[in-house]
Amino acid sequence: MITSKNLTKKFGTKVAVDSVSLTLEPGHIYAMLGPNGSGKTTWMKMAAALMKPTSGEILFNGNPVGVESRKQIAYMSTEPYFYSWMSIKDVGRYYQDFFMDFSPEKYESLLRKMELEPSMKTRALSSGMMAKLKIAVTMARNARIYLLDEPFNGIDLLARDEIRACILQEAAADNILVLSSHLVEEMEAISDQAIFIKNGKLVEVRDLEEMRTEEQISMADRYRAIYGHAEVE
Amino acid sequence: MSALLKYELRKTRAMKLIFLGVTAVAEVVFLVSLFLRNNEGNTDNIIGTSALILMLIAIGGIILIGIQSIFTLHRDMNTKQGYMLYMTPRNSYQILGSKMLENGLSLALAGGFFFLLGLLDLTLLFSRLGELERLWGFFMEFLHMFNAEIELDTAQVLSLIFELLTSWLAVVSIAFFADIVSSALLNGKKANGVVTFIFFILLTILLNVIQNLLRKSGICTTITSTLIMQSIVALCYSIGMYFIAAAVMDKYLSV
Repeated sequence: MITSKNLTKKFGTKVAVDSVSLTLEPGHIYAMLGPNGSGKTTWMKMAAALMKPTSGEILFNGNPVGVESRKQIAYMSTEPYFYSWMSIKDVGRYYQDFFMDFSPEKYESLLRKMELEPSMKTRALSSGMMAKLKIAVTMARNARIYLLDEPFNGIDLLARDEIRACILQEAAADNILVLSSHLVEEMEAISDQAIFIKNGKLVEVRDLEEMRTEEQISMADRYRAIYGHAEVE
Repeated sequence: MSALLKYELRKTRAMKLIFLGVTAVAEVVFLVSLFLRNNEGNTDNIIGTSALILMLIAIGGIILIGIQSIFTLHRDMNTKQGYMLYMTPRNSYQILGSKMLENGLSLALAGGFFFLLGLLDLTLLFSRLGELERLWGFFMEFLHMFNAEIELDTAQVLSLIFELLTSWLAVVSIAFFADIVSSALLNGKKANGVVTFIFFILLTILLNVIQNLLRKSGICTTITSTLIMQSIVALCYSIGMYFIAAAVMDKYLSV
């Protein structure tokens, strides 16, 4: 379980995350939604213990996130972050050296599925290949929480299908998946909960099935209602 | 920490290999010209030039090892590449410790390597050029006219090299600390660069003041003991910088 309590992050005078309080439970796939600059990435970075909050706290199973939580939280940034000298195989070795929950067999299997050649240098990868590599190495961990920032960014439909299948395969009753994306329809197909963030503030966390049956609206409809038609991609 | 150290060494491998390659070329030129030398000294110019190049490589290599470590730390704190490091379950003390250790190890290995290479080359040079040994004798007598203590024996040379390396390590540690303060506390603030630079200069001056005070205090009576004392001060200063910098990193750094 991950809990964010009055979490705030300021960059100078700009408030990126504004007193966000929410609890994410295992067994769910959360879609974190909001336009650019709404605070999704900043919240994820704080949950991954990469960024220090200005105030408030974020707890993993009751303890503040930090070195210990990193053992069980797998974070995937939207930007490429691998060392340029690394090959795809080196990336796997690196994760194996640092994360006890990393499975080299699972990594190899995911690479095969995604048609990635282990000897290729990361600096030579296209954006689609890089997105697949990031997903493969992150999902090869048997983590309790997966934080995937824009996993479908800048990739074609076929690569998107592969990534979606990979994410769904890892969803389990004892883990939490949090995905941020602008592709609302895409997210609706794989998530069961939606977190709406606007201008750094939490608008609401909704159960998608409940929303569909009780209010007869989709996630995309709710998105439109919160952010306005112009925001939907 | 061994995994962190392994990757820190890997990050700086390319530059070290380039230096090793250039050193090998200069050394081959030096050795070939030394062995092809006839009584008229037909290759003296090449011997002199390659020896000078080897000396410059040694000095430049040691300086660049430190500078590269500073740049690597800066990149790890200010680019997305830093996620590779800070998303691992390792704390700031281990992360910075591995960087300091990599720098210290690289400096020690490079220092030792160039010292042994220099010793070997000088021995070969003296054995091939007998008159050079006589010149060296004149040079030492000249030095004794000014300072009776200077012997340039093995102990003095080794302690001088040790002092130079530890002082350079201390300067790199100060740069680490200044860069961490800049990235963790002053990031996005006006005049960050200027403040960091002033901070670096002040901390470097402080190190020199401490070393000078101890030197003048009369605790050490010989050149060798003074050099060793200065090395110990530089090492303690580096360790102090490490603990303060890691604490700042731990509490304030966001990547």
